[in-house]
Amino acid sequence: MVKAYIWTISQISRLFAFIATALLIASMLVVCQMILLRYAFNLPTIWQTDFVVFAATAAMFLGAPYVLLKGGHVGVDVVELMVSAPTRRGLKLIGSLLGLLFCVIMLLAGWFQFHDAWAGNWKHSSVWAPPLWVPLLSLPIGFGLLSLQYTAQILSLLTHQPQDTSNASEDPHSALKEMPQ
Amino acid sequence: DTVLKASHQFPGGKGDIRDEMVQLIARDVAAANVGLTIQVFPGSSLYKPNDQWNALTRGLLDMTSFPLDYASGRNPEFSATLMPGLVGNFDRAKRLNTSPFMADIKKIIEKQGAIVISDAWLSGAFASKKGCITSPETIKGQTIRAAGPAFEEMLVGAGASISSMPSSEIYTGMQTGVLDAANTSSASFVSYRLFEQAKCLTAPGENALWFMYEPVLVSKKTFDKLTPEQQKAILAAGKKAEEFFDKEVRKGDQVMIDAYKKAGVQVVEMTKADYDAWLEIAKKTSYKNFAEKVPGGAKLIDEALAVK
Amino acid sequence: MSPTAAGLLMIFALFVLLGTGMPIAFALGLAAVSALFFQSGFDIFYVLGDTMFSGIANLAYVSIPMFVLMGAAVASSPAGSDLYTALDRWLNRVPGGLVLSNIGACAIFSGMTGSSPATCAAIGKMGIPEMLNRGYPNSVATGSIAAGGTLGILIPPSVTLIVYGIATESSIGRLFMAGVIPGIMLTIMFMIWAVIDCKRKGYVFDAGGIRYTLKQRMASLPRILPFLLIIAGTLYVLYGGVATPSEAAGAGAFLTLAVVIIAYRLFRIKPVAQIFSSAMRESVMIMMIMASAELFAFALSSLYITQSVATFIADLDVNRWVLMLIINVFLLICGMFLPPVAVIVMTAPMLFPIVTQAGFDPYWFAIILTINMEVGLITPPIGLNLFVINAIAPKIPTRDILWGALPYVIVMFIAILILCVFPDIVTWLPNHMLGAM
Ligand code: NA
Ligand code: NA
Repeated sequence: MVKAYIWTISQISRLFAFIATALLIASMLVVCQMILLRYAFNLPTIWQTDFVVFAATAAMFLGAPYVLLKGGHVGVDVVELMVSAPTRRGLKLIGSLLGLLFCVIMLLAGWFQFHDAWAGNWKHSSVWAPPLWVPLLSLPIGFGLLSLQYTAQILSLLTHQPQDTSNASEDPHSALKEMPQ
Repeated sequence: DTVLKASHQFPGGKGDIRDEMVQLIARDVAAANVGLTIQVFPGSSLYKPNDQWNALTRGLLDMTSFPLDYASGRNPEFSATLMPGLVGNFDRAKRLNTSPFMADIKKIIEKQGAIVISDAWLSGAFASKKGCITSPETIKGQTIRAAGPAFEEMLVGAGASISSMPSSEIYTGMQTGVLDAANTSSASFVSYRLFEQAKCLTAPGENALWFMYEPVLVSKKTFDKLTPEQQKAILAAGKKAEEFFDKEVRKGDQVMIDAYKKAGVQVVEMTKADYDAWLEIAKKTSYKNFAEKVPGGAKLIDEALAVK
Repeated sequence: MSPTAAGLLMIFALFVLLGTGMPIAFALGLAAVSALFFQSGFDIFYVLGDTMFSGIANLAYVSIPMFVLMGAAVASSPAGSDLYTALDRWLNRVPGGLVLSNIGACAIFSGMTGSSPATCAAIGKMGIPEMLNRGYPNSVATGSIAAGGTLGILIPPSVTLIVYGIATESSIGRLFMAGVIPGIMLTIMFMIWAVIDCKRKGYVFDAGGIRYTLKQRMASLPRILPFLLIIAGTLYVLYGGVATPSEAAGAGAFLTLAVVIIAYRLFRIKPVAQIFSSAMRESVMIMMIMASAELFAFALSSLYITQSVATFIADLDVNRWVLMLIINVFLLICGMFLPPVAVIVMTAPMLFPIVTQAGFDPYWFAIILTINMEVGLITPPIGLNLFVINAIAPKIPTRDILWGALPYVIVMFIAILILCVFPDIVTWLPNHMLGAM
């Protein structure tokens, strides 16, 4: 059960990492298209700036759960290195619970924000005027999935199940195993 | 003692007229001795410019000097307060304040949970390194950074190219040639030293296209919690700040003109004919879009244009 | 509660949270949210989303992932090792030549990415094993990479200068230009120290076995052509009237990817996917810290802590250079505990008015601030570059890395001093190229 849950969540995180990466690539290409239109053809650009900003920003929130899965959000390991292995596990558990707390708070806050934008039909104030709920949706999705990912991490700590990546839980330096190689 | 938070995005303590308005209100309210202290957070040091409206209407922020158009994504009617050619000059701006047009706008502001305590219309200008921007033909083929979506629509309609960037990049943009021209407030034209790059400045004068409504707002939630004395003190301070603004803002335009002339930049104004030609384009672009997209939009435009 | 007490409590809470080893981003966020909750109650939930989202939803900030992507493209391809080999062929006869190659490679790589950890990882991955192979001690091998990597945020493009530009409404194009000469200067100072150190300790290993003929040396040059192409291309886009700095990042990333993919024939999905994936991960790490730092800064301001500190510093009524010294110490302490982007988001808006009021050039201050942040990258407890080196060479004790990096910290202090005495080193190029401010 626990194993299946952990596996499922990690797959969903991967899916959103893929979407986040695609959004980043899209914003890169749109920036280039915008420069080309204006510089080479002297044509006005209407939607490009908004698209680039919102795609890249949404990508950051959507990619965050995967980065958590991979232990890529850096933290301080000074205390961890000073204590014994069982204490380290306890510390890790407390850290994960606190992380979960923050993500749940932001899930709520993000949901309010998204819901208001949706219900009030808020637009971005620009010529293109895209509806704001679209990019804001990345807040509840990102923090919701972060909460689920944290739950998986806590479960794996409690049940001594390894998370699906070998580098996630025990190694105090796991944070940077995933740095750009 | 009740402590109120006032926030705005303009530099603090440097003589920016909008900052001075808020500081003046804070001083007056303190002097009124009604148990009210206003903490001023200038330069976006509390809320980001665009986040102020949400915080204000929810009562988390108590006061702000706020470019109302920033909230037009939530209340599309507010776009009318940064609409090309609707104002024209300072005297007309004053008449506009008491018109049915502004009564309608203020009704919406209040319904959303805020109160206007000082009216303020900021003037703006155009500058170009290619040639003087007067009639619509003069902007054809220029890449311009405009202030406000409605302006972008009109400028594109006249054949300009739009490049969006923060105002802090305009200088470098014009320097490197990314931009040929810029449209922003008179204050920004001075503080960003664009006279070093521009060849020609189109000063507001009697036929200014660019005006932006930047009132001082108080949260209705906050206001309703105050005692009658406190409310009176705030309203009185707001009135005084409004009078202060009206005097100072005209000086600001002269400061800009002097700075540009001193730097050897040609300074021109739009003629009535230029202005009317722009209005024709605006009617086909920004006004038309506004009327189509915003319920009651056409009525707002008509009300504004009807003011003498 | 007085602002001072509230501030101390918040910072104490932050330290406790960081101590659990939880991600810096979430620790910053949780400390901020708790403080705000005690101040404003449940209503505060309605602005948290706004603050985090619009904190990073900015065209200029989009350039951060783009400049990270540029670095990832080079680091994940043979381009990095070619650069390294070429430098080694030219420098291997100099005492400590390999150290110089490392620092030089870091500097060139810095011209293609905005991130210090990325620079450190890209060059360290090849540099550290190679130096250890040739007999350099642990401390020399890791210290030089840790320090060389910090150049990533000084030599443009730079993530921290972008953040500073947004926080203080300064021109990013101008900030980039201000970093060029100090960046070259610091590179040379690092190299001078490396030569002195290696000569002093008599490290001559590399010159012993390997000799390269002039022909071999010349043959290595075409391999660094792609780099020069990328840097020149990005500079042209940036300053040639093609695009704004924010947009240039996207074009630079595209150009880098194109050059790397074509020059190294990476026509398979896997290596390209790897580039994007690593860029996405580092960007998310940086941007989440930034978004949370926005939240933290908001809490500090909302509790009137920022303003109290600013008033306190401004009211000190001391000589402007004493003021600058105090600000530097303050920044160094912040930099020890927090990553550069977080420090800048939280302190730049507060310090900027004080510094300009005291008559310092804001662009000059940006560079002083950046070098301070570079120090923070290689000092414990939170030093992003130290983490990277730990990951590359897990067997080397942290003590050795710290010991090796320490002299470079002193070199950075000297650099700050030099820039204080000769501020023109910073301001000359932007003033010359973009007109005086
Ligand atoms: Na760099
Ligand atoms: Na540090």
